[in-house]
This record gives sequence, structure tokens and C-alpha cells, in this order.
Amino acid sequence: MKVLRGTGFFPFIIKRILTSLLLIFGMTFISFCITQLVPGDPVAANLGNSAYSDPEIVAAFEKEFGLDQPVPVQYLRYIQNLSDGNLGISLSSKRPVIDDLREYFPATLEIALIAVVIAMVLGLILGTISAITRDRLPDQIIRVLSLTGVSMPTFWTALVFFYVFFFLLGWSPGSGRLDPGAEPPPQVTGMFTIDAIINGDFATFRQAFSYLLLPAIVLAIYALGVLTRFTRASVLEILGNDYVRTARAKGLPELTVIRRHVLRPALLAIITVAGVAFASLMAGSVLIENVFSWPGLGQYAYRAAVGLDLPGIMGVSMVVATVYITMNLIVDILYRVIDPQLRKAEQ
Amino acid sequence: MKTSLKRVMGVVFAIALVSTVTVSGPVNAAAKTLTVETVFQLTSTDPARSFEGTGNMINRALYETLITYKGGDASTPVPGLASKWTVNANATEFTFMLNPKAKFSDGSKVTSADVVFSLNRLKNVKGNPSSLMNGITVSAKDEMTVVLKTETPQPQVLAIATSPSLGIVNSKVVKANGGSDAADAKDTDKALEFMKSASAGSGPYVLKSFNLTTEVVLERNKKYWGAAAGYDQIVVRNVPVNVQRLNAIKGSSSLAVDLSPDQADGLGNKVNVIRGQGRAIFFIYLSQNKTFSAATAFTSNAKCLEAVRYGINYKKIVRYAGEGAIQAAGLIPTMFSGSLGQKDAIKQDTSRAKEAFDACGIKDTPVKIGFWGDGGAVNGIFFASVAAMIDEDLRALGFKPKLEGAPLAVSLPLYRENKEEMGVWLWNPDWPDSTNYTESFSPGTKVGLRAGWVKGADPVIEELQARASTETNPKKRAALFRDWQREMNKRGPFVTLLQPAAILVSNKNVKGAAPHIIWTVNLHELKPTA
Repeated sequence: MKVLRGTGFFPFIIKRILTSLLLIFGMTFISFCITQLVPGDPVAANLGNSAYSDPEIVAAFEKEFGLDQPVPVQYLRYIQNLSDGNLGISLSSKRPVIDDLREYFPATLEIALIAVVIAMVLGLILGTISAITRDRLPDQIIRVLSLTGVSMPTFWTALVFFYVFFFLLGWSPGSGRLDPGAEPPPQVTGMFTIDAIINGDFATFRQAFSYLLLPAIVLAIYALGVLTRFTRASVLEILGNDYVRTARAKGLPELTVIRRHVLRPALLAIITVAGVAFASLMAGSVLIENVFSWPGLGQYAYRAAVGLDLPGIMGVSMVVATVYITMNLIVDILYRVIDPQLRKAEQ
Repeated sequence: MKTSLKRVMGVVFAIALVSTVTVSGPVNAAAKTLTVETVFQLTSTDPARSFEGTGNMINRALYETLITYKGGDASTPVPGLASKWTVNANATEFTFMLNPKAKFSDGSKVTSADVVFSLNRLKNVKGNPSSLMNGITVSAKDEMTVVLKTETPQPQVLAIATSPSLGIVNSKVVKANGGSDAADAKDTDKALEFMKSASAGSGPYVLKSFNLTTEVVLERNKKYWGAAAGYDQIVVRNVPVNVQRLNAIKGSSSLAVDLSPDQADGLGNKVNVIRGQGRAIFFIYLSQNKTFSAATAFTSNAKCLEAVRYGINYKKIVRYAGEGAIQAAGLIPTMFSGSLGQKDAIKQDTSRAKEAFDACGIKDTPVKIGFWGDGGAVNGIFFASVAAMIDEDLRALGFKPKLEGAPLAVSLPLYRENKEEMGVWLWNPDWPDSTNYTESFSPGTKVGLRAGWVKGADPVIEELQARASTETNPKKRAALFRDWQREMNKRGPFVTLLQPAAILVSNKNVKGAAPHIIWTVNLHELKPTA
């Protein structure tokens, strides 16, 4: 308890982790209540015409998935099972939700990671160029492009990119994660590119990478637009500071001024946006995964929602909430690592 | 900072280079691989639990049934695992003699014990297709003879026996992996996971891998006892319809099974478009539950029914459904015994409909029409579009309809529990026989009850239903089915709308594709042209 009362770096982390656990617990309650409020019937959604008319089959289904219990009992059981790492059995796949998530989550993580790298690298470069060429042609072009990026609906972008790069140009191999019937690499992380490298199988790596590039680019477009605009705004703000003028007056080369005196302080705000953008990429991949037949969390979530697969919906909610909370935690930690003022205040 | 920036740029450049080199390869390099693209309707490849479209297509290739159908036919059974069969005079006893050549993929012989185990397991796991075995008992007469018995005459047992859910599994293998056919199999059978990782059947293909959202891979059964499979490998992929279309045009898939008539137009010269008749019957119904709401006090009225029946512009709906779709003259689709011809189809008669509307008394009472509304579509036909056309026709008569589309998980329970005033729905057959319709739509049966049409509501129709379900003479059966439908068209609460087209788009290097109403396409019949 002494640790919790402290104001240093470690008490901060411990406090944040405990708060995060509480948040996840609260989220399970809210998600459970919302799924119960949905005016649908999971039995009807999962049983066929004849089976639904057979009381014995309906009773067996309800018993198998615990739907024959009162709602509070269902929730208590869920929490009880959760403490053992059991997220229940999916109504649609008929296997443990944790196994489903183990399979689908890495697929989404894989495109989200590539997307966030693309968005961060390009967003930083384009945002900086835009700021230092303020109101000139490069700035105008980048602003139009970034505005387009944040304005285009993802499903539309996905369809257009798929049509152009797969159908017309043939640069993309198409939908899915690998060629039809190709053996995935032995699972270590569940991310095919990483697993292929671990396995030393570079042919599979190349194939997996070629499949993930286009959906990752589409997924990156929105975040890229946001990050470019945000970087531009942050850099512009910092460019007006006295210490930047001083650095320039001292005769430092422009590139050094930008790198040392502008980008570093701007990074602080950019990291915050990048963290939230990554979490939203994870959660917002449903439409892209559908267009590209990408077997990730988005497709799983859609399937669970359509089939009123309550354990599946809860599982996805848990993962998305955990990603958001973790990203916020990482951003807060990075803040303290990067910002000397915060560290100083703690000391 | 300088070095790290350089590194980052280097990585980005390398990624771009690798991707440029790799993305231009052929999509399907294997010489004898068939790629089938469909939107997955799949839960597993366990025949006792799978009852969905994609599951039926896959299980048809993995597991054989006692009898089956050839090509697109669904009326004349041909030998499967049974080389011969007999039916007693009153259709209560069905005896199947197993083909002594039949063997499972592990080389062991298919025996009556396997059949008894498989069918009892189907019955007792209480899965989605278990109701197919309702009222049927199975026993082994000897090692190679199986008898299916029913208490009442049920000529439809032969049609039921063709369902992929009645696929025969290798009982020893399934038992060794947790399978059970005992009365408590719903609790004790633990073979589902095994059945998703491997197959234990006698079909021309075996299961190589199973993924619920991406693809299911089948391999040639090297020990298959019948005509050899056409391909070394079949990959059934979960692909959205728009992508199926693009792949078909590019020639990068072998078979697309979900395209609508409009989508099947202009596909170029790399494919063959095979058109058949779809299995679904779209219909609108009016609730007969007089006390459910203010509107149902009128929808249960014969005049109201007449107004709806003669007020709908059927031609418009059929045009919307595209080439190959036809007006449903009755509830029984064209491929089944006793289906009605187009001369029996209801023709729009607006003056008769208006007269009936005036007589029914509903006037300004709003009536809600339920349907699958979140983009719900079958064979490219959107329920919302059909409902909108009906809305327009009913408004022209004076009705005040209110469209209430909702996601399937919400709208389906309302329909199934008779909580709609009117609804636009469809029916897909559980088994390929006309009794599936007489036993489902008559008063007091499952869909009849969904419309609030209770037993005793129409003695004439109920008598025809009873006679049709026990008649064994094919000609008399067909006549009874026709009579039943004609009576339904006069007084039943169901107004049949259309029977859509079923379309298969196959690459020109594939032959043998024929749409089938139960398993979509028989993968075993697909062969390479060269």
C-alpha cells in the first residue's frame, strides 16, 4: 500500500494497472447489460427452422450455452469463468471464445501494426513538410490529401483500392491471407509474416506480406490523414516559439532545427494521437476485413453480432477495451519517458 | 536521430521492394486445385450438426449417404452407399442394402453398424439437423442391411435420406475421438472438434483443414471406392459476392456460387454461367391471430387476404429478381412433385383487390410488415426491396402499411413467434420433397402457427395435407400436392411471390457444375476440362 501512496514512476504504473483492471471489469458489466438489452433471440438466430420448432433441441441448445439460467446468474458465471481465463463457448463456432480470439486477434493485429507504422512514418514526414511549407503548393497538396484521407468512408476506399490494385492493375494478389490452400506457418504469434520469419520460411513471408499490404494501406489511410493534420498543427505551433527562432538565429541548418528543436517536442502530442489511432484501427477494421476476406477480429465481431453470439460479442469487447486501455497506459508511460518536465514534477 | 531516420527509410524501402516483387504471382499455382468461392454459411463439417448451405456442399463431398441425387436433380434417388433399397407398401419400412465395395477413407468397410451409429448420433446430439430423424428409427438387419422405420407412412424418408446431415461416418474412428450415439449424446458426444480437424467418411474427398471464416481445404480420398475425384485438392473460400464476381472475370477462381442474375451478366469469356431454379420461395403472410393487434383483427379477415393476394404486382417483383426468376405459382418449388405451373399463378387484379379492400374494413388502421432488413438478401434479392414494392402496391389499394425491417436476429424471432402483423419471408426446404411444404405450411404446423393459423382452421386443407403425407403412389401424391396448393392459394394466409434463379459461374476449365437445391453443387461431379 505504501507503493500506491508514492508519487514516483512505479507507483504511477501500479495505480494505472489497477485502474485498468477495474475499467475492464466495469466494461464487462456494461457490455453484458447491452447485449442483454438487444431485442433479439440467440436461439432463433442460431437454430434452423425445424430445430427451432423442436422443444428438445431448443432446450439442449439453451442448456449447452447457459441460456436457461436467469440473466444475473449468467453474468456471475461469466465473471467466475473469466477469473479462470475462460471467456465461454461461442454460439457460432461452438468452441472456446479464447481459442477463437487467439486465432482472429493476431490477424487484425498484423494489419493494424503495419497500418500504424505506415501512418506514423508518412504522417510525420508529410505533416512536417506541410508545416514548413505553410500556404505554399506542397502544403496545399498535403492538406487536400490528408483531408481526403479523413473524409473517405473506409468501406468505399477498400472497395476502390481492391478494384484498382487487384482487378485492374493486378498488383495485389487478392483477398485472404495466403494463396488458396497454402499452408500457414506453424503458429507462434499468429501473425503469418512474423511466424514465417521465425520459421525461416521466406517464401511464405513474401506471400503473407503481399496479401496484407493492401488492406494495411487502406486501414492506414484514415490514421494517416489524422496524423498528418495533427503533426502539421503541432509543428506549426512549435515553429513560432522563441527557442526555434534562437536556434535559427544561431545559424543552425534548417534540417537540424526541425529535427532537434521542433520534431522532438512535437512528438509528445503526436504519440498521444498515434496511440488512440492504433486502438481505433484495431476496432475499426470490420469493413476492411470484410472486403478483403481478412479473417480477423472484425469479421469475428460481425459474425458474432449477426448471430447474437453473446460470448463472442463479450470476448471481442474485452479485447478492444483491453487494447484501448493498454494503449492509453503506454502513451502515459511514454509521456513520462519523453517529457522531462513531467519527470521533474514527480521528483 | 540521423541514423535511426535512415534505418526507418531503409525498412520502408525494403518493404516496398519486397511487396512489388511478390504481388504479381499467380493466385492459384497448383495444377489440379479447384477453388470454390462462396459467402460462408458454415458452423462445422460434422454431418450430425451441420445444416447450412456451405456445410451441406462440403459434407456432400466428405460423407456419403445411403442414397443421393445426380446433377441438379432432386426427385429421383440414385444409389449412394446403398446399392439397392426397398419400401414397403404403406411407406413405413425402408430397407437399404449396402454396397459391399463401399469403404471409408481409412480403407475399412462401411457396415450397417456405421449407418446405425451415424443416424442415431444425428438424432441424439440434438443439433440443428436432428429433427430430420424425428419419428424415424434405424436398425441393422445384418452386417450389410439397414432398416429405417416410421410409425406412420412417410414416403419422404427417401428424400430425407439424401440429406448430407445423414452422411455416414466411420463409427470406430468417431467413437475413438469422443463420439457417441447414445440417448444422452447431446451431453456426451465430444467429437465436434475432431470432426473439424479431420473427416471420417467414405466420400471422394477428405478434410485437410477447416477454418470457419477463411477456407476449408479438401484433398482427394486416395482410397475412394467409386469414380475418382476430379481434383487433388478443393479449396472452398469465404469470399464476399463482389469479390467473387471480380475473381470470376479475372479467371482466378474456379467456381462462384453466390452471384445474382444481374451480377452474372457481363462476366466475359473466361466463364460459363449455369442457370437453374433457386430453392427458396419468397412469400408474404398475413397474421390470422385476431387478437394480437388492431391490424390483425383485419388481416385475419378473408377479404383482407384477397385484397393483398390480388393487389400485388407480381410481374414487377419477378422483373426485379432478374433473369431466371419466376413467379411462385404455389408454395412448392418447380423441381418438386406436384408443383403448379404458371397458369395457376395468381394474376394481379386491382379492381377485385380494391373491392376486397373496401369489404375488409381495415381502412386507415396501420399494418406493420416485418422482414429481414439489415441488407438481408438471398440469391441477390433484398427483402427490403421486395417489401418496398409490396408497400407501394398495398398503398395503391388504400392500406396503410408500415415497413419494419430489422436484423435477422431480431426479426426472425418475431416471425417465428407469431408476433408480426404481416411479414415478407422465404422458405428453403429442409429435405427435398413436397411434404416439407404440406407439413410446414398447413394449419397447426410450424409456419402455419407463425401466421397464427391454428389446427382446425381449414379442414379441407388439413385433410389434403394428411392424405398427401401418407400417399405412396407418385401420381396420386403429385395430384394431392397440386390440390393442396390450389386450396392454399384460395384461402391460406400465405401469398407466394417468387422463386429466384440459382446461378453457378464456373471457369471454362471446369465442367460438370449443376446447381442443386440442397448442396448447391456436387463437388464430386466437377472435373477439369483438359
